[in-house]
Amino acid sequence: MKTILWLVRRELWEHKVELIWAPIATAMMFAGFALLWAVSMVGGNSNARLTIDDVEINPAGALTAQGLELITGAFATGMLFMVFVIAGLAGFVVANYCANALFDERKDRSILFWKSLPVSDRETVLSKVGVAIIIAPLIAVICIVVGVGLVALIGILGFRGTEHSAAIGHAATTAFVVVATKLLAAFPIQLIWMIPSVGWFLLVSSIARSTPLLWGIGGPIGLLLVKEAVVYIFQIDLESFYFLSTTRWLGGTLPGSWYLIDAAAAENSQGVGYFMQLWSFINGGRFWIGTGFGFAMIIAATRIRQRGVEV
Amino acid sequence: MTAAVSAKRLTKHYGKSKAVDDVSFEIESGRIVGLIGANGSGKTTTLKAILGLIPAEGDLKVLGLDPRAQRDALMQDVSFIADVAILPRWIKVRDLIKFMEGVHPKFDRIKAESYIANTKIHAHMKVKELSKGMVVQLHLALIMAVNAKLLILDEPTLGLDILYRKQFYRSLLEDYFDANKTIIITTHQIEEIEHVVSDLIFINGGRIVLQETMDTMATRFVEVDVSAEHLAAAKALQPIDQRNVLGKTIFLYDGVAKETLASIGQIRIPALSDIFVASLKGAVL
Repeated sequence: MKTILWLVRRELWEHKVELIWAPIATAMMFAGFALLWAVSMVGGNSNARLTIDDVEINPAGALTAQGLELITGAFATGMLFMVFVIAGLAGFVVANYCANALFDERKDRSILFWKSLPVSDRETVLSKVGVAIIIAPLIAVICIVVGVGLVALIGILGFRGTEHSAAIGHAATTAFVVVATKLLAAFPIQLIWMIPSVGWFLLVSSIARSTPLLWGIGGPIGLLLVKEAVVYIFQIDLESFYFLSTTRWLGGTLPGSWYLIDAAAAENSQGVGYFMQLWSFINGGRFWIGTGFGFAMIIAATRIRQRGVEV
Repeated sequence: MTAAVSAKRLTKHYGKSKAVDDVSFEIESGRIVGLIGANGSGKTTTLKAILGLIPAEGDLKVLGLDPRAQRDALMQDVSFIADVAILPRWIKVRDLIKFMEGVHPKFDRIKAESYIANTKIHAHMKVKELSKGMVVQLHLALIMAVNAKLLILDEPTLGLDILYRKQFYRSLLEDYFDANKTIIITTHQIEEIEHVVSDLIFINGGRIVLQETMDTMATRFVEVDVSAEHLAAAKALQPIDQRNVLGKTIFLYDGVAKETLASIGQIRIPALSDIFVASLKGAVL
């Protein structure tokens, strides 16, 4: 266990820019925008107007019901946008990280050094899987929650002393709590959801002699085209054999990419329906068969690293 | 005495060619063995098989373990430099030492830092900021700070200047080596390990052409400066190699009594490199 923790630390040293600094910088950028807006809105300028959907809201004047609704909506939309950007970025970073995780050490031949230490191939691959499915998403989630929290706080402070401070405070807090709760509820499911994708990119990384990311992306797309061609030519249904959807296989590291498959679920993701939908989602056989494929690919990547170093 | 490495009928194919061809040998613990061979002779392949880095046919035991099936256990007691300039380029020297201390139960941080203190390497530097020679120095410092039972060094001094080379071999003998350790070294610079190793293995074309202790090497191989009048007698004694230097002919003999050779010219102990060159010609059996 101690070795695994050191290996994870090692990964974070190597990839600190994309795994740690990129999400922090993005979250801070959003907070910075919010701060700029708040300063320009309120900073003693009584003529400042906030316009949402062509409706003008005067921070110093009375707030209509419609105005409050618009502000609440703006908070929710803005925060959702932050989630999309930071989580989306993390998804791409993780796919790229996995594609290079077992490739770079062969390319620069440092695998000969890593293999001279009392560290097994299983521990090494496991540490990379852990970084991909737990550490990197966790860092992204923390950055999102802190960033969204800061935006809410800036909104509350920005309207402090105005007539609507209580209403705005409520709107910002609600939006924050909703985003944070949804994110945390989806986290464990996202973790399992991304296993096939992480396994696939690691597998390609352990085999590819060049451009592992390209092979990793090209493989599933190529197979999808073949499948579609077979379906078209022979008029047979392959769907029930295609356990691992290309979306999950390729885009599993993108948080919430399951909504790309299940559009109805996306529409039904308001309120309690969101949590019900998450539950029904993992309650299906396909989900777990796909996860099994993921584990198989992780084991295969470990075996390949074990098999030999021809560098 | 137990064998640190025991190989029986070790063979490694790459496609149709054999990099290592039915090789058997034993290395006792407490020895320093020089594994000498030309490029492509199979020495690196042999070392990689010993280290469990590649699969190979035959029966191989290292410290009593199977290097393939029990590699994880084996690496607790084996330390090696498989090649120079393979340290990860992105890592800081300080972090590399921390990491080694974290994962290696037999790594002595103080020792590593004292070796590094003798160089121009600083803890805050990244490996990619170091010169080639400094990377080798760092790697040697790390490896020498591991208290391993078996140390394997494949061309460890490549890129080092003569001063540091000598310093390295001195500390290898004085600080590192003791009776419980075994060291296997390969190098192209045969002369630099001449006074370091206790045993020699010559390998050529994937086969072992000679395996001797340094003590028996000195009695077995003799070089004689022969002047013109003794040439016929010298040739009759079946030299394994000959070369001309300043009008004299120098003959190299394997297993001919010194008393006999003294009668045809001045005898001396040959350089290892000359014996090696003779072995490449297929003369040594």
